[in-house]
Order: sequence, then C-alpha cells, then structure tokens
Amino acid sequence: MNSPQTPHLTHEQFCDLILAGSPHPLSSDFATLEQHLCACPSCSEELTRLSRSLTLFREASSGFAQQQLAEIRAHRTEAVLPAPHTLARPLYWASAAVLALAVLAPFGLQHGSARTPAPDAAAITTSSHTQESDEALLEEIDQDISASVPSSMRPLVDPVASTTATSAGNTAATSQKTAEN
Amino acid sequence: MTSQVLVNEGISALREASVTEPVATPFDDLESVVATYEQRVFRFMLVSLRDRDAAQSLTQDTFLRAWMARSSFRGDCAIFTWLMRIAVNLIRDHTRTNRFRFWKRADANSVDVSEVAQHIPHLESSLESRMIANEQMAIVWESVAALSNRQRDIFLLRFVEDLNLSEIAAITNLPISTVKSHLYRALAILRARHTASILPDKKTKEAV
Repeated sequence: MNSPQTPHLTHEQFCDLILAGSPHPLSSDFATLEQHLCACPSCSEELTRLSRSLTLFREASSGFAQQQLAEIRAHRTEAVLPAPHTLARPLYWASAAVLALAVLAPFGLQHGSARTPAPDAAAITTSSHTQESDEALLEEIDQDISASVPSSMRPLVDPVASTTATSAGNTAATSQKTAEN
Repeated sequence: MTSQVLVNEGISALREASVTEPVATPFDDLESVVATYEQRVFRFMLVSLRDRDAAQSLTQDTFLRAWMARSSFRGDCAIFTWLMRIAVNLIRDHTRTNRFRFWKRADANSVDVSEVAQHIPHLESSLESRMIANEQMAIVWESVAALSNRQRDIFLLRFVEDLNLSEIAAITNLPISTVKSHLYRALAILRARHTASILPDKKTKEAV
C-alpha cells in the first residue's frame, strides 16, 4: 500500500506493475497501484517510459537477431549448394568430360608405354643430398627438444661459471697481449 | 503362484522392450525442432553474449545436446523450456572460461548498440522521437551489460523471451521468489540509469 510517508510507489510495487505478475508480499493489490498511477504523474510517466524502453529493447533485439540468423542461413546455403552456373547444365558437362576422357585415354596410355622416363641421376643426387640435410636438421631439432635446457638458455643455467669463464678468458687474452708487447 | 510368474514375466518383457525400443521423443525429428526454435534460442544467445559467432556455435550446441540427451526428456515441461535450460547452462559454462573473458576484454566480435538500434521499428516520423527511442533502447542495452550473469539470464528470459515467472523458475531451477528478487535487482539498475539519463535533460530544460 502507498503509505503517507512515501508519496510514490515503492520499488517492489513499481516492479510488480512492470512484470504484471502476482504482487510482491510487501506490495499491495493492483487496483490500489493503478489508482495511485492515475493520481501521480511522476510514477505514471516513469512507468510509461520504462515500459516503452523495454518494448523497444525487445523489438530491436528480435529484429537484430532475425537479421543475423538470416545472414547465417544464407551463408549456410551458399556453403552447401554449388554455384548456380555449375548447376545450370550438369548433364552437358558430365557428357563432355566422358567424351574427352574417351578420346584422350588411348593416346595417354600409348604415350605412357612408349616413353618411360629414365630417372635423372643429377636429380637423384640432389634429392638424396636434400634428404640427408633434412635428416641432420631434424636430428638437431630432436636434440634441442630433448635437452633439459635449451641451447639459447644455457648461459643462464650457471651464470657464475660463465662469468668466471668469461673473466678467465679475458685475463688470458690480456696477459697474451702484454707478452706480445 | 502362477499369476506371480506371469507378472514377473510381464515386467521382464517390458524391461526388454524398453531397452530395445527407445521411447520416441519430439527431438527424434531434430530438423523440425530446429526449424521451430532456432530463432528464439539464437536470439537469447546473441543478446546474452553479444557475439554472433559464439551465439551461433552455442545455438548449435544446444540442439546437439538436446538430441544427445533426448532420452531424458520426459515431456514434463515444454520443449522450449527444456531447450532454454540447456542454453542457460551452456552460456554459464561459456562465460566462465578464460577465453570468453579475454575476448570480452578484447571486444573483437562484440555487437555494437548502434547495430541493434537500427532495428527499432520507427512508427513516428520525427527525428526527435527516433533519437529518444534510440536513447531509451541504448539505456536498457547498457544496463543489461551491467547485470550479473544470473540477473541477465532472468532479465532476458522475462523481457526478451516474454516468459512468465514460473517458466523462468523451471528453466533456471530457482524458486519463483528468487527469480522475482533477481528481476527486482535488475530493474533497480535499469531505473537508476533511466533516472540518471532524465536528470540532465530536466536540468537543461530548467536552465533554458
């Protein structure tokens, strides 16, 4: 019920009117709510505005979804059916293909039996070289993969050792230069 | 004694029959089920996820799952209710994944509100009324994005799919009172945004 302290509808009452379902336990019956709406332009205006927004939302969503689904269905049809021009005269194309095969097949067979191409020695050598280098590359990759630490990360495994080694190398180089001088 | 034997034989025969011959369900004719309900399931998915590809994929999944689980359909609810129950669960699973969160952040496939606003039926010819309609629709669109997953499901089932509270309760497996509470909260967010959009207009008018 609309209490004197709250001149407007409560949120629950407002929602009940929008949902048009059974009133909330804290709400009052619809007749009283509608009476209030007639007397209160503020609540009435808000209810009209909100209901209209929801209707627009529903209509726009439905229209949008319908359009999107129509596009999807059109794509599906395009994917399933072949292009229309190939469908135009399928019998014509099939018979043409059969004729062409019947004419060309004897020539092809004769040509194949007359000249069996001899394997080219240079091509065989090149292909065997390529195969060897491919195998070597694959082995290298296998080693890299099976290694616990990748080769590029090895210096990071023991930075002290590598630093020491580097500094030792530098010292040796310096002493060599001094000796040369 | 004889009657007991006959009853036992009858029961075993029925059992055998139920094992060998599965009960016919409406989902056996999947093509007609898809033709009837695809539009609505896809709409719910699209408005909920706002991603056409994901909506399409999950719509297909909905029908696939329905067909795979067709033996468990007892006919105690409507076909659409059953489909929407699957759809809601699929959306929930989908939105839980990290991949969805990433794409939502990346905003790659998301539907823009202006695309949706193009589908508002403009019965009025005046430009002002069209702009107001677009603005009102946009407020709801943005408010829906601000809802929790559960609130959004329930809000869309009520205001887009136009289902009543008991149907929504059956789909979401929640009591009607809980469904109502979610709707009240969702509408509170919507009202707050509406009021916020009206106030600047009023202030401008007062200033003029």
